[in-house]
Amino acid sequence: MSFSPRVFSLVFGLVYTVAHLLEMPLWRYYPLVGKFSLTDLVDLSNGPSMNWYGWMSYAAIAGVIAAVVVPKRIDNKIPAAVFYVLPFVILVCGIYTERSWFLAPPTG
Amino acid sequence: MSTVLLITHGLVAVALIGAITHQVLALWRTAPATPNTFFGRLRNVRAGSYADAVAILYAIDFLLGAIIYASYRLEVRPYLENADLYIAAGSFETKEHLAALGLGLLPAYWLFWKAPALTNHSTERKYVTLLLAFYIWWNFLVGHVLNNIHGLP
Repeated sequence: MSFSPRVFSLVFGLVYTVAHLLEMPLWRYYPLVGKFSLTDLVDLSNGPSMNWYGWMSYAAIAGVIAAVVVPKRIDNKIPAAVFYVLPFVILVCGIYTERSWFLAPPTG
Repeated sequence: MSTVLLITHGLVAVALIGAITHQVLALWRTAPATPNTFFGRLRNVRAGSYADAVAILYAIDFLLGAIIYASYRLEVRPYLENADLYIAAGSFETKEHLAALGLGLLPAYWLFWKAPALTNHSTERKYVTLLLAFYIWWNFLVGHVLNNIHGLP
């Protein structure tokens, strides 16, 4: 069993982006009360939730599994361009998802 | 405690900026560096020798940032929103994504620099390094500006 850093990097970026786009963290952290939760605690007294750690958890788990499971012969067949085109596309997606802050700030 | 961590986060970021900037300039130079000039000396380095430093400094800086992020969410972001500083708040949201994506990219970055069998993969190395440098510069500048707007208590 071997670990492919290349596969890890690709899958980490993809899964992080999807988890963020779907607003689907593995877990949430509520810093005001210091609580961790697998579900969204709707009680406002808990304060704001932080999803970032949960998105990264999904990405890291998926990345590690893929990096171990994907056979070396497939890893070697991944075109070189994927390693710089895909991270760039992911970067654009990440910025695009936050466009509302810059284009149409929340009102009220 | 947050202040100590924030200052350490900033200092590590300065070292990281230095390492990745040397590396990118050396890697992307198209002509031999002109000796005895500032810019020449800046890029006349062995780019590969910075790979370990970049990877380690990035990991440390990321960890420090992840620890103080909770304080930002409670103390700084509400201030930014109440002051209608949405571009500043949005910039931080992109910073968090870039920091995470950079962390994910780190294993491939390190491999492209370190694995002997991949030494001919210079194109991947160049672009991945450039992308990582962009993440690092963006995050440094956003963090610096936000700290000027409202630092951690």
